Amino acid sequence: MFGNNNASLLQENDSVMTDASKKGPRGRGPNKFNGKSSNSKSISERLGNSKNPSLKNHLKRIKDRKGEFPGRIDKNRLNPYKSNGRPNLKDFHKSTHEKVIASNVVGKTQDLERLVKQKSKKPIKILKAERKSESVVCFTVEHMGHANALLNLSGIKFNGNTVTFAIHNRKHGITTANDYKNSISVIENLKQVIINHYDIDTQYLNLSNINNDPLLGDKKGLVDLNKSEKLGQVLCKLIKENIPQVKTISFANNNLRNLKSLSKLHAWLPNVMNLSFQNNNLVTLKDIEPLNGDKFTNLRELVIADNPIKEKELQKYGNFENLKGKIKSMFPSLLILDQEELPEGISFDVGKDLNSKSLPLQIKSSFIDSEVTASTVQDFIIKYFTLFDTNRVGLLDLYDDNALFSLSINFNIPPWRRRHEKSDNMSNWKAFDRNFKTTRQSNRDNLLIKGKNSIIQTLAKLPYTKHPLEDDSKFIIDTWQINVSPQQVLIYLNISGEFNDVEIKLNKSFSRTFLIAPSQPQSNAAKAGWAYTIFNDQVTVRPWSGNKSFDKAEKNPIQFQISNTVKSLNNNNNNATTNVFNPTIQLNTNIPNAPYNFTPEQLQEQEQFRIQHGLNEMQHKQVQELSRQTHLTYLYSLQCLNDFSWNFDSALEGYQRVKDQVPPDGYYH
Amino acid sequence: MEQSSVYSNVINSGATAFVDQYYKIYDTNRGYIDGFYKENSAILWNGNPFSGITQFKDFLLKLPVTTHTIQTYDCQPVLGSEKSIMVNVNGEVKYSDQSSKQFHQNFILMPDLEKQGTYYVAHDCFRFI
Repeated sequence: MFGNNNASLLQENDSVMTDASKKGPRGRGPNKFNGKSSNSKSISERLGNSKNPSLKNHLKRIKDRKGEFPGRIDKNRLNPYKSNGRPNLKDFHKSTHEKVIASNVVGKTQDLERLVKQKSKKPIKILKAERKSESVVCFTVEHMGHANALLNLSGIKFNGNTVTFAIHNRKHGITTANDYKNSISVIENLKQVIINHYDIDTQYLNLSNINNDPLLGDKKGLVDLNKSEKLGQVLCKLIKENIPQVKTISFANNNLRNLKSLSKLHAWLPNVMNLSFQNNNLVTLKDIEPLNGDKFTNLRELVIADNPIKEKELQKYGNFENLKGKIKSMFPSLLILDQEELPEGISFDVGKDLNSKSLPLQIKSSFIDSEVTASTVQDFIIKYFTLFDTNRVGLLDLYDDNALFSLSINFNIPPWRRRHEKSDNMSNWKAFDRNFKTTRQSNRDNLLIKGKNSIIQTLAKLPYTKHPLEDDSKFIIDTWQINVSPQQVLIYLNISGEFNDVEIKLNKSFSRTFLIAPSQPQSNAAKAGWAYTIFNDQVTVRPWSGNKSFDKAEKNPIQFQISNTVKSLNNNNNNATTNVFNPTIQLNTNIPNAPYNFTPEQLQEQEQFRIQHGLNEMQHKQVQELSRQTHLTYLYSLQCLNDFSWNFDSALEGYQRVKDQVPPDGYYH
Repeated sequence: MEQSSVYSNVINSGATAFVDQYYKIYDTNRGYIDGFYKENSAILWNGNPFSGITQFKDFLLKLPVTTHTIQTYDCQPVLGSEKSIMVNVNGEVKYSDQSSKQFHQNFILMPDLEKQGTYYVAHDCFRFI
């Protein structure tokens, strides 16, 4: 009935593949270094003969002012970088209450207190407010941070008058707002330094001799990139926040001994093209290595002139060829080192794909080799899973007399669920697990179920299921026709998706492979009206994995219409009765009459089920009573009561009608 | 179809050897993967079809480094065939340093009539699940 069109897969392939193969590897962008942009100007040009007179003067000013600012303010307090920028715990526990004097206060103390709390950018905790004189109020605040916050508000208008604040410190006497402004924080100053030293037109940030910038006042020496890697991070962050478009940065004349503090520069400023470390104290390649040169993608020029490393190279090799090679391998994108062009690196077209993070092909939806296969498989899937969910014994004639069935249970929870969950309840599935990883060789033969009768008996023992065929996004089917012998064509059918494990009301996922053949005339399948017969049936059941892997996949040319068909079938069969129990084989017709007594273990289990299903005490009692009278297990009784809207008598009656179809493990024994 | 337990032992150990070798070569020596296939093998990778090993190998060589972890596998003799075997595999695969993905892969192994005594992957269906 399939027709012998097993070549169809290959033909389909050809058309699909030409498309895919045309794409090829991801194309490379145009060479950024062809042609000169305004940013491609060499920094050594810029630095070497500084065309910027104000910069020169500025540097001179810095030199002249060296040591000009006497240290009045406690460095320990103002240095945010000391002890890694975190408050020193020892100091923290000291009583640090600070007194702030507010002058020119005309009005109620409480009103001023409210005003400052409202106006301050940072929270201020005022412990005490005392009026010292007609116009002076003394606030006691928790610590220096709060005192500084008050100081920041100096000049605030209160009832039409300008209020000024000053800190009254035990050690340092009075600090006025003016003093404070000089020392707000290194960060504020650093930010200002960055902005001042940036040239918008050339996108050039000159941080040469940053440590001696007058703006940093007496805190010069604190901005030492050798001492604090944290400072480097702060600096990068400030640059990124304030001048993200920067292309050229000079760290010249900073006495840098290594570049550890700039190890994250590539991450903060990935677009930076030119870097200068001229006239620092870099001695070996190890000092430069922390810059992570291989992580810069746009870096084209580097300056390390006037560092000891250059001298050493010259002494050792007589030229810089060795250094150029080493630097090039550290900074693969680099084109110019100290104004000399670097050789184009010799690179191989190897390993790019191996380290790539993206897969070379998109994930596609269900694959079907031909329309013929599509219609057969669609028909099969709908009929098979409808019967599997409602009446497994009805599948009997669908299996060949010699059909084979096996089930593997994958207990592993999917990777994306692992963060929150350790395992899933798979216990009611494991009886027929044939996973070769865990099953002993001697058992494997028994666990391969042979022949249609054994298969149906096995299927009947599996937990009840509901496959959501009405939702296309919940399963994926790959299918094509195969020749397994010159005379035999089969449909190779792989389906993955989810189903509801009805008893425990949990979704599970499965993958299943069928091999189905056209049914022989006069066979049981043909007589029962089946156009096909199942030869092989191989199932893996596993904890629910969702359908994220395929539900948004790009569509393949031939598609199924399963959900629509199922929906219209459901609408047409609205009057058809759906059976309460999934009727299976008639195996157990002797229902005992005497009420059943639960064992302590069973009672304990029932209590767990009660909690699991959120039953109230009344419902719990009803389920137990039905169980006692019918010997049905707790879960079967629960399902029965659910189906009869918790009417006990109807449930009992309903049970009597279908009791012949309850499988043996539906009862307590 | 042969039903004897001797034969079923043969195919069971054959499937075990196949699963071991296949993923080992896939993960560590992918250039040799073509040894498992032939030019008429039908291969599907996440809905993308390949006819024959040449096309598929091109694709495989572009895949990032893989690490497969096999969680379950199982095999059956294919009914109506001369000694064909169906092998079903479930597990996880990690690409480079990305997080693991779950996969399902089913193979139809057939005897290679041109090379007596050897099998090849005639059909291969792979899916992330």
